[in-house]
Amino acid sequence: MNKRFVIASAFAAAAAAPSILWAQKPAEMPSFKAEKCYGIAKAGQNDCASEGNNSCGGTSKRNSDPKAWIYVPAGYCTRIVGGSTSPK
Amino acid sequence: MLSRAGVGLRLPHLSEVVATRPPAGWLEIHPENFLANPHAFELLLQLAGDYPISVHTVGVSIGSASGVDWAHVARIRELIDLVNPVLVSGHLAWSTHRGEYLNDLLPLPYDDETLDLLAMHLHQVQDGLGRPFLVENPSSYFGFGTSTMTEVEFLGELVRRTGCRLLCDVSNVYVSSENLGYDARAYLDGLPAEAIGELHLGGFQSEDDPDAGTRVLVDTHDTAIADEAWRLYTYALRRFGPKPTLIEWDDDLPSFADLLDEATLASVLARQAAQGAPHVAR
Amino acid sequence: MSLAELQQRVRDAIVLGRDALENVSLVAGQGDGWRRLAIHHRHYETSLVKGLLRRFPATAWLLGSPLLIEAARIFIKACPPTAPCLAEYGETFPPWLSGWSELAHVPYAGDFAALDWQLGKVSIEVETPAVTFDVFAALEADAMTAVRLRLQPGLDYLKAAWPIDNLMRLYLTDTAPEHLVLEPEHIWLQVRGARGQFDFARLSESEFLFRQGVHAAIPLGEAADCALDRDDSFDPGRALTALFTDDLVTSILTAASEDTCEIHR
Repeated sequence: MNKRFVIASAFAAAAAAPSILWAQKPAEMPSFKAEKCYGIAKAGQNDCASEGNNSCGGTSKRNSDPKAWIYVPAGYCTRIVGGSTSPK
Repeated sequence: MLSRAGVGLRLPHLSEVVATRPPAGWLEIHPENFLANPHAFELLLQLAGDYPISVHTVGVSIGSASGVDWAHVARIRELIDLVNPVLVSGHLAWSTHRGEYLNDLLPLPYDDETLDLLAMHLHQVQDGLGRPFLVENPSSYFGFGTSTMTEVEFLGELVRRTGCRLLCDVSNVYVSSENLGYDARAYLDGLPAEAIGELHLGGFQSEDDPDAGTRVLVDTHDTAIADEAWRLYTYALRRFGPKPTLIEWDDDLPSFADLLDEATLASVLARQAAQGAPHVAR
Repeated sequence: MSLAELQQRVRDAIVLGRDALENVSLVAGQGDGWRRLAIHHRHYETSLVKGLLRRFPATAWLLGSPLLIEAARIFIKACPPTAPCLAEYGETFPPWLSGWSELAHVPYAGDFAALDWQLGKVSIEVETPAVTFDVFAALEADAMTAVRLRLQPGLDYLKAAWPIDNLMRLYLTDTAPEHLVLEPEHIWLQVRGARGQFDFARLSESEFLFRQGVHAAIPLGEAADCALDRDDSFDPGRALTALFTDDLVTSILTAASEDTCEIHR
């Protein structure tokens, strides 16, 4: 059967059907708060908004130890077995 | 309207300011932080109804020989049209080059070629933004041997040529004068007082260079205003008269209340200066 | 030397290192002009590397900071920011990581970093009130396949060859086991977020193709066509209504209209 006809009919049928038939919401998905991940967690509701970082001064101008901002010593990928497309 | 000192509004404080509406005189933003963050922009628009907002750009590179990023100017124009800021400003510097953004305010040689370029760009930027664009003096770590005039001479020429207004960062005057070996008060004496539209104060740190036996002051914006800067600020107030003053603090942020305390100190000094000897206009 | 040439040399010194600044006289009071220039080079490197690490926190967890820092150091020299809004810097880092030889033993790293990027991106968007299905249902039946929909801004569609969503969940919930076996698996994800929150879920391949097409402003009929091509059990009617019941649709654009005849709710 012509695909365009199938599609057009399907849309028309959906439009004509009582909406209750189609109101199947997806299963509840966990919703993650961005404060856990995308910025320094500060008090407030939208910690994700701490991304940005344009400024006209710069602490990065100081000659400070870059290790100061290393916070993850080793990677989890070292604990992953498999995960290679070819043997090492 | 801006008789009380203002504070920089940085993203980590944004939700607190929206929720509690603290008694800040006015707020200054880097538009670049809000253009790429729709949620922050939404919150900013809520604040714009309650606080005078100043827009302080870092990406409008009037000093770039390869040209200003006009797409960026257009984005800022959209923000300005919605926020209706009381002041719009940028820097005597360059931060972009041939389509790259270098995330820094870089120094310019002070000569006729630079003067011609900045005069042209200022005219175009003010057209593009639909507003006057105040030019801020930079914090400098070095200069160029080919410069034919001092920075303060250059700014004076720029004002004479274009009628533009200036944002005098008093901390930057101190930092640059220490780093390059000139007199900070003489610099302030040389600025055209009637062109000053705003003052900035920001924190800096000192770094020793043991090999050279020198130190350099670094404009870090991560600490309280130094005593030397407060003293120079008092001198500036006597020279220029009261001007809208903004406290800048971008990193290692204190509480917003602590920021307001710095602003209060600036406001007190401004009141004292106004009540003291009349300012000397030139 | 013209100003343009001077700025090119200063740019090279800052982005790549000091050797490119020949024939330029620097003055610095009692200090050394070169060391003072190094302040700007240091700032360029440090601020952008720090920015990338903060922008890819899950990837930093996966690869470890030392490796990600090494990657970032190379990336910022090769691919400086192209616009002044730093929150937008890093979009091309995931595909770059995919091609980096040091990560050949971590073939899922690029896909994982792409998800990391998208989660951060959608979480700072805003959602607007959605259009309900009855607005669409009121259209002429023969106009429906030509309709385009505009969807919520905090939305993206990613596919991957590895189950990186499971890996991401382990990171987000702090439940990563001591050792994990990872097998290749084709997955199709919808990422969605707004105002500080985000989530992500798997779709079937056909559902993914349909939604990705709609998201790209392809006419509905063509997007459904794409999906049916892959899977002839794909149900266009159900897929269409799901967009509305998921509150994804923000406006409906009819065929003749471009943006001038938008039908809002």
